[in-house]
Amino acid sequence: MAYVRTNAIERRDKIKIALFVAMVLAVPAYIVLPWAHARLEDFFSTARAQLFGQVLIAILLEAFPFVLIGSIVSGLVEVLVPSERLSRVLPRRLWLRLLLAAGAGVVLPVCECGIVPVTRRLIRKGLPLEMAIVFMLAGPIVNPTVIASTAVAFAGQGLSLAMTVARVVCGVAVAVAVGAVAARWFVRRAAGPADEAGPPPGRAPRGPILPNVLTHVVHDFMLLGGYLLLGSVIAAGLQAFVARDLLAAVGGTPFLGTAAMMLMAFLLNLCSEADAFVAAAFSQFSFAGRLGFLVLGPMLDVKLVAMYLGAFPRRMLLAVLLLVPPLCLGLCELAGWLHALLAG
Amino acid sequence: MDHDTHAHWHDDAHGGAPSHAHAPEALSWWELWPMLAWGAFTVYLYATGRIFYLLQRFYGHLALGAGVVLLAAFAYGWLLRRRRLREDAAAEAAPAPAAPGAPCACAACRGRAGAGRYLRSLAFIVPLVIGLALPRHGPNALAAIQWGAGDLAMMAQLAAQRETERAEMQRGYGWLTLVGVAQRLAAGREEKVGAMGLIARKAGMPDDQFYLVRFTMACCAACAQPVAVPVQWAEAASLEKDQWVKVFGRLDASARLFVADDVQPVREPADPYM
Repeated sequence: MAYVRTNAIERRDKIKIALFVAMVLAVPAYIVLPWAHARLEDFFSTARAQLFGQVLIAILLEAFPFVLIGSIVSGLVEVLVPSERLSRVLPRRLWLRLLLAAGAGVVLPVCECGIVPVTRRLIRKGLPLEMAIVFMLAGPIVNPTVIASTAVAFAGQGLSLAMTVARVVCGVAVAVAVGAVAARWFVRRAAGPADEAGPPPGRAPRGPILPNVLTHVVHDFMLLGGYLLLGSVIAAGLQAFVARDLLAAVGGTPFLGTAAMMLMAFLLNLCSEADAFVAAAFSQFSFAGRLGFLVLGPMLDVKLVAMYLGAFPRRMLLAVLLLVPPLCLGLCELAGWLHALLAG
Repeated sequence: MDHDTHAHWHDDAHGGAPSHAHAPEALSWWELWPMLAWGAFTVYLYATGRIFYLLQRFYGHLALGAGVVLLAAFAYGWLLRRRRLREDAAAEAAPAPAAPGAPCACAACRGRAGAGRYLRSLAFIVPLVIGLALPRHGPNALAAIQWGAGDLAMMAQLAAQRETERAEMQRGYGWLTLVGVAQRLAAGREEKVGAMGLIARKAGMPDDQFYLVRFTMACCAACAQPVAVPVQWAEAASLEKDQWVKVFGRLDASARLFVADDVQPVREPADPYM
């Protein structure tokens, strides 16, 4: 193969070109930018546009730190964890592996945005897809911060223990069930999206650690940040145009009420560390309904689906989309029935 | 392949295996500029206080931390890039001979990293433009109506999540936040109270009524929930929605209304949330 080498332009020439372009663009920019800014301000003087903009920027500002944290963890995993060691420590029995994956969220507490780059990197390191699914779905629910916030949010209604335990149990059960089904589906590990530059999966790149980590952090952040942006635009649009009380009309209805709350969780795109306070306020919904909100939200919402699209194989995404909602609905209704039975 | 962004060695002397020159690769400007822009944007929002219209305090500080990390990552990535380009320039003076072997199989060499990377990079312009054009206030009256104003059960539940509020006397009225007013309405207490909020109206409301609204926020504006107390005032039709007002009056427990004696327009407070 022929030796290929870039021909770098002289640095001085680059500076000259940059100055020239800046001068050429300066005059029209001086005229166009204030005009554009004024038009944008006019557009955002309408109430709905303001609402859309505020929700969009709020979701992004809240989610980006966690995506960054997840990208940093992912970069560290890529550089420091050899694949061979990962495959050696995994148990052989399927159920043990699935439970281990579910419990890993306690040790590695990341929210649902941050867990996506970490899971993606672990898959590239050789983690079986069924374990990755369980870790990704259960991790944000068994996160100690999420457990604590759930307990605090429902304390005033005397449901602190019941809702917290139900959330963890149902969340883990849904995740393990999806993982068990996925273990049957995936005969071999499917390759992840091949859209990033860098060494193929499985081989730790040689060279200094920090620059390596930075490269992977930036790649992951840019990849997932783009899909997060897409999801946030859709979520903000839904919040600006769909009234929440449309769903509240079916509040106390069995199954339908739970499905409505799950749909609301999908549309609202809340962080799992604060969604309990929002769920607690929906007093017109049943225990099962509010539980459905809390279990589905960290697993599936608009921005998460967008991020999954960019991060994971299509079959994995399909498994999650097809299995999580019905399992969540069924288990939460069962938990609601049990709670009613025990509470008398 | 983006030749301008990294010196990419097809070092086939290693028999086609991924070369050590893959890592670290020089980061592209397409990847660096969003980190600079978003980091600077976050720091700007924090410095001007605008971030707290969108995020709860803790998440606002967290966003600032992330912004600073992004700026640091940009600076380090830029330094790495400069060093890499300098190494390339130095290596130009003594190029190594080509060796036969399998072509490099990484995505960049296969040209698969191109369009998606540019689109994602350009997409970051959208929230920056929107964020800079947003007005400096919290959620508006439309948000209140969209997000549940008028749901008295939800209002009572939101109020129950807080400790019972004590009133401070002002002009002979017990001055409270709207949560305190909601707590007293839910408890059926008939008192003379005062509170501040913005005006919202739902379709079908009588002309002499409006909602006095303020939002609670658990994490960000997307999860903000309105505490909306229905107010009755003879001159309600003269008030505009989104206007901030102070209302003094008495609570009518049977009608679940706040009957106003006086309504005064005021400026929006520095912190519009409760």
